[in-house]
Amino acid sequence: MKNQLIKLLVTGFISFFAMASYAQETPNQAISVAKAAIEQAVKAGASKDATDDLATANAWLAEAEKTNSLIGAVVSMAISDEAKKNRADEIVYLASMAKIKAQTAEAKAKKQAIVMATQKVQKDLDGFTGALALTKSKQDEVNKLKAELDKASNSIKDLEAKLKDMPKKD
Amino acid sequence: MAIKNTLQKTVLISTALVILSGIVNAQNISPAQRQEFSDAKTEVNNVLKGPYQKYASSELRQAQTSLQNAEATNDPTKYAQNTRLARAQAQHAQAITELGVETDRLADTTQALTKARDDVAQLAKSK
Repeated sequence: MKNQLIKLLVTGFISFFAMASYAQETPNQAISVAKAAIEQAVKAGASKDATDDLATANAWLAEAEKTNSLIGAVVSMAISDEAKKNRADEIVYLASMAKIKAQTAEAKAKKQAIVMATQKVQKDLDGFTGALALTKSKQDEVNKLKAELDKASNSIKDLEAKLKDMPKKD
Repeated sequence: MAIKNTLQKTVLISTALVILSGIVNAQNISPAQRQEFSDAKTEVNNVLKGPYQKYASSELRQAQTSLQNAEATNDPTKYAQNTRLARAQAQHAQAITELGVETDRLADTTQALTKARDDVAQLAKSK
């Protein structure tokens, strides 16, 4: 009996938490999330690099806020539960669109910043690669000259040796 | 016997009504909405052509789920909403994929720069 009760309680808790986690977000929560996403996009530079997507996100957010406005809430008092649910779903949908557009704007702005950074690094890399190639070619030249110098000095040594071995004329 | 016949008729009529209401609702989805759905599907397919798996698989899955939700409903409002969500989610997945590709490119270029710097330093030492 006790075991059954414990099992029942555990199942109840699991079901409750499962339902709570799957519960749809409220219109206000959805709007807050969308606003945060827009702020994040602006911070990433979307006002400069992803203006279209940011403008679209703001337009969706404005629509969500309008539908969620006080007048809308007053009107919703007079409507049926089903109509209320539909209105809440509509607001969550509008806010979700705002959030996704903001996230897209953020990704595009970040991409732009990374492209610029890559161009800068590539420029430095080109400079180093050029310098490396130049240094290597100079090094090759020096090595070639050294080899020639060694050859010449060996020739001189040979000549000096030959000169020593030559009979002296009085 | 009469009760049985009445019951059978009621069941038949109810079933017919349910099917009919489904057909009516399905017909409420306009050609423009169907075109929007087709555009969203194309957008999702475009993402599938790229390296989304490495960067934006969960974002693309969301878009595919929204497409499925649109296909599953007969409600024109829900159909339009899910279609638009799918398209926006696909565009988001595309943006995330492109961001990932560029991030990897930056990492590769930075690595190449570090190597070039080391090579130059080593060459200077060997002089």
